[in-house]
Parts: sequence; structure tokens; C-alpha cells
Amino acid sequence: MNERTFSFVKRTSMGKTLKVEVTMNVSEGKIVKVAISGDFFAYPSETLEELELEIGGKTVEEALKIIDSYRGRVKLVGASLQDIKQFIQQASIKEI
Amino acid sequence: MALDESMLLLREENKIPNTLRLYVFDPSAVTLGYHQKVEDAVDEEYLVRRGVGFTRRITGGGSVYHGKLGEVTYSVVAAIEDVSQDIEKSYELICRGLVYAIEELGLEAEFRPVNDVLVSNKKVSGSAQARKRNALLQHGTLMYDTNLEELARCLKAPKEKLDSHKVRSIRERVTTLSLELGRKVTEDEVVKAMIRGFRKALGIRDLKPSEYSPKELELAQRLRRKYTSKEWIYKR
Repeated sequence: MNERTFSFVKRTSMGKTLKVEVTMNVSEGKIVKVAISGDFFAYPSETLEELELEIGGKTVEEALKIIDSYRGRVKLVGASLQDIKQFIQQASIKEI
Repeated sequence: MALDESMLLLREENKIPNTLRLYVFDPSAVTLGYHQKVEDAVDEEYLVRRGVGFTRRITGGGSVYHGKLGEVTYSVVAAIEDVSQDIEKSYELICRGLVYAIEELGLEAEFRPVNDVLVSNKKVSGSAQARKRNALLQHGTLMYDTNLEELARCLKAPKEKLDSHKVRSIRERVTTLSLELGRKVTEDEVVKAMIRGFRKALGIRDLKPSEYSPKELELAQRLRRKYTSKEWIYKR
């Protein structure tokens, strides 16, 4: 199998838990899927699912740009888009 | 949960007034936050064995044990402009209703941002909020005599969360009004205190008791299918 899943968990400064699971296609260097979960809040709630879908199949660089484009579209309380970006970057380093 | 969402959708369309709903789960049940994974938030095997139902909320936050005895759930559905555009402020404003209610029962309570109310530095209430363009729903729990051992068996907390609170288990982090007061608090006195607390916190002048309207019930009945579907419950 060319796919590997990396799981990251963070206790954020507001006392919430953020978990990001990143499945990478090792040979292609692309993200297969990202699952963002935890006890934080997102407004509107569904926006993170749209983000997850958009990131699937993209390179890490493309994914990071996509996440940046969500600033202003979603307000996270108890987590941040920066946290999600950091985990995806970490997954890409581990994948190497 | 279906009724809460029904009320939010109808408030969004300006078809119902701002509403405070107080209710008790019967039988006991567990709700998960919108973004939580079932396997991370609850002990599913235990819930199935004990016959405790569970569903996912439309609101974020963590998993909640709604005991049939010892807990009152509240929902506030209101126009955002009547509370606050600022999300964190609106949490505080509504949670202040719980703080006032607890104080009325003779305890000091503290709002801990974003969404907790504590007594003696332990959690007695957690809340969660969802927003549409014009309306918000904030619901939460107030534990006055919850079976905390059962709560701790049903819910899971990540190690990172427990470490950050410097406790070893969920049980160490929560308490009830009865434990803190050293006497059995009744549902009736909690409900009365909550009504007075929310009235004071939200500056409500005309709070009238009423039954659910046919349109609230009809929409809730349709939404009920979602809350019992595996697709919704296991979506994360």
C-alpha cells in the first residue's frame, strides 16, 4: 500500500482538543484525505467538511493555500486554521 | 435534539419568538459534539450494553451525558441581534443565566470561557452554540444530582484534555450542585432557579410558559429521522 495515515492531537489554548488525521499517498506525495475532529466549535459547522473535501487529492502546498483561503469563511473557537496547517505540514515531513 | 434544531430553523425564519426551553432526557442519553468522532467521545460498547442511546448534535463541543435523574438541559433560541454578534460574548451572556441560577441555590459559580460553568473549580455545566444567519441556538446541561460514575463510564476524554486540567479521569473534573451543597437538590428548584437566572441574564420581561407549537413539532418529527440515522451519528 502506498497510503499512510498520520494522526495528530493537540490540546489548544482554549482547553479544546483538535485531532487531525492526514492520509498521504506516499508515492505520489499527495494528500488522500484529511479528517478534522474534536470538541472545538466552527461557525458555520459544515465549513470544515467542505475544507476536508477540497483538500483531498491535493499536494501539501496546494492544501495549505486552500486552508488560507478559508480565513474569513469560517470562525473557529478552540482551534485554528493555523493548527490544521501545522499538522498537515508535519504529516508531509513524516511521509518523507 | 430534533426539537432544538426545529426551533432554530423556525426562529431563523422569524416564525417563532425567542424561546427558552428546559427539558430532561428520558431515558438517559448521550449527545456528541458536531465534530467529534464516536470512538473518541464515548464508550460505545458500554452505551450499547447499558441501552443508553446517543446521537450527534448540530452544535460543536464535547460529549454530554444527559441523565434522566439529576440533570436539566436548557436551550435558548434567539435572534442573534438580541444576544450578541460576538460569539464568545454570547456564550458568556447566556451562561450567566446558569451562574445566576446556581448562585440562587446558594453556591458560588464561575463562567469559564468558552462554554463551561464551574463550582469549586469543577464543571457543573457545559454549553454549545450553533448559528444561522439571523438566529442562534445555545443548549447545555446543568448537573444538579447526576450519577457521575455513570457519566464517567459513558464518556471518553482524550488524555491531552485530562492532562491539561491536571486530573486523571473525567470523574475528578466534574461535580453536581447536590454534592457541593451537601443536600439533595430537586429538579423543581433547579428549574425555577434556571428560569429566574435566564430571565435576569437576558433581561427577559415577558417570559410566558407555553406548549410546543404544531409547526415546531411537525418540523422536529421530520428532523428526528436524521438524529436516529447511522449516517448522521457516525458521520465523523
